[in-house]
Order: sequence, then C-alpha cells, then structure tokens
Amino acid sequence: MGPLYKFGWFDFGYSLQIAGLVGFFFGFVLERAGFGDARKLTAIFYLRDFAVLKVMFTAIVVCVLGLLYFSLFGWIDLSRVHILPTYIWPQIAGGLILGVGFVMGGYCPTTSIVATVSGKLDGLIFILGMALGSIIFAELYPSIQGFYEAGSMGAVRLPDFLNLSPGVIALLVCLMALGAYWVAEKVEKKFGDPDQLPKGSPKAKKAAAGILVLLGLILAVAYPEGLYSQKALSVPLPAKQKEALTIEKQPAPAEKPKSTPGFKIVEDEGC
Amino acid sequence: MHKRYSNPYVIGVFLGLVLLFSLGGGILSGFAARLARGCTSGQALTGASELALGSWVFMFCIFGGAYAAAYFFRKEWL
Repeated sequence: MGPLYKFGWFDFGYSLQIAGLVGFFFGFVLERAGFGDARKLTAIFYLRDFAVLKVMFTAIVVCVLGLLYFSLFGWIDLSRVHILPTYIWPQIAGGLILGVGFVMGGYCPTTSIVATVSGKLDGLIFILGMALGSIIFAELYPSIQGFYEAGSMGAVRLPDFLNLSPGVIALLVCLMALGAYWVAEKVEKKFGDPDQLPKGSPKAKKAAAGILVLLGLILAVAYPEGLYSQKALSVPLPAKQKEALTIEKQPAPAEKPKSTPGFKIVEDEGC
Repeated sequence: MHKRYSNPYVIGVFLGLVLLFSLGGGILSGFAARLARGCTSGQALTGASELALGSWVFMFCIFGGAYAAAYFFRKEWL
C-alpha cells in the first residue's frame, strides 16, 4: 500500500489489514479458478487447458494498465512503487528450476497453499518440500552467494531496457496478452477436453479485446514520460563503483531521514 | 488413473509416487524461489506488472523449464 500513503489515508497498521483482505480475496479467486487442483494447473504444460496462462496474463495486464492510468490521474506516485531488482542469472536459473518443480509437484508456491487449505494432501507435502528447499538454500548459501548476486542490473524496467516509452510497452503487453489468449484457445480446442473448457461468447471476447487495445493505445499516445519515476532512469552502477561510492560517503554523517511513525514503506520481495 | 488401474496396490504405489514427486517439486520450488528472490506471485506476477526486466525473464523461464520437463512427468498428470 506504500504508494497510497502519500494521501495519508493509510497508516502501516491499516495497510496490514487491507493486505489481509486482499490476500483473502486472492486465495478465494485462485480456488474458484480451479487453481487448488494440480491437474488443472499442469494441464497447461500438456496443452489441454490454458487457464494458468490466461489468469497470469490478465492479472499482469490489469496491473500494468492500472498502475499507469492511476499515475496518469495522479492517484499514485510511481516513484514510490518498489521495483524488484534484476539479477539476471539467478532469475533465469530460478525460473527454470521452478518450472521443473511446478510440473513435478503440480503446484507453484502460492497454489500449493490454496490446495492445502482446500484439503489436498499433496499440497501439504509440497509446502513441506518448499520449507526443505529453503533450508537447503540457506545451507548452501555461502557457496552459491556469488551466483546469487550475479548479473545485477539494478531496478531496471522494460521501458528503460528497450528504450521505449512506458505507454508503448503497455500497448505491447496488451497485444502480447491478446495474442497469447488467441493462440491458447486455438491450441486448447485441438488438444483439450471440450466438456471442461470454458465457453465464452465470441462477441464478448472481441469487445474485451477491443477495449484492451484502446486502453493500450491511449497510453501509448498520451502517457507523458516524465511521470515515470526517476528512480529506474539512473543507470545502475557496476558493483565496484557502487562500493567505492558508499565508501566515500561513509565518513559523512549519515543522517537517516526519520520516517514519520506509521508511514513506513514496506519493501520486501514478496512470498 | 481411475480408468487405467483398478488394482488397489497399483493405485497405492501411484499415489505414493505422486506424493514423492510433490515433495521433490516442493524442494525444487522452494530452492528456486529463494534463488530468484520470489515465486510466481511475488516475483513473476508482481514484477511483471511493474515491468521489471528480471521478472519477465523469470516468468518465461518458468514456462520454459516446465515445458521442457513436462514430457518426463506426463504419466503423473495425464
């Protein structure tokens, strides 16, 4: 809730309550979408049911458009949104391993929790496995620390990396999602079980696609680049230079800006 | 599975294997989520929404890894 603090509507405690509420609905929606079921989740990897892809891309598109439109209207301050830093090599390796774990165990970390609370034994075992995996990581950490910090690029975002305006990127994300839905439905029709696939009206789908493209186009044309935070624009320094800088700075009395109690921005890595 | 096997012993072995795979998948996922600084929700979904570069790479790598491994676990899910 950090970005909304600027209005003074929330303090830290209140935002925790909202986080609980959001988590409640996140779990509810995941369960209702069938994501507590390993078969439904892994069906995407056998080209039978692309619900996972649809849900993921829809969530991303809504959030991308939401963030950019809200900042356009001045409702949130993007520079206060914590951008996850890029460590390219561990992220590539982590993604590949997580993918294998996903198709092996049938869940991803979030959905295993959904499965467990809906009474699935394999979900519970999966959670135990995750705890074990975390312990193994912690035990191995001294030997893989170098790799864990490899490929650090700072909080770099697609607009900076591809040198395009955020609005254009948003439009591209919309188009990519639409293309993915289209391909997914074609493939589903070929390999999936027609009784279990959702049926939607083609008209509604076309209307939704049109709205999505329109929203993306508006952003691509109208989104002013200055609104995009300065934080990511500063080129991330190589580690050595950074070290040198921090060492130079240290002699100066490092006065931490005292944050007003109750208005702390929580920066964490998520689950 | 219900259609193919009727012998309870075979079903028991199958379920045991599934649970073993669940444990293995959990270990891999837990390790990977720590390595990549987040899981599908905390890193892939959240980061992709912020247009963070690493999160997009991470997300496509999840799909890549899973599709590459899917063949070996087909008996478990199909």
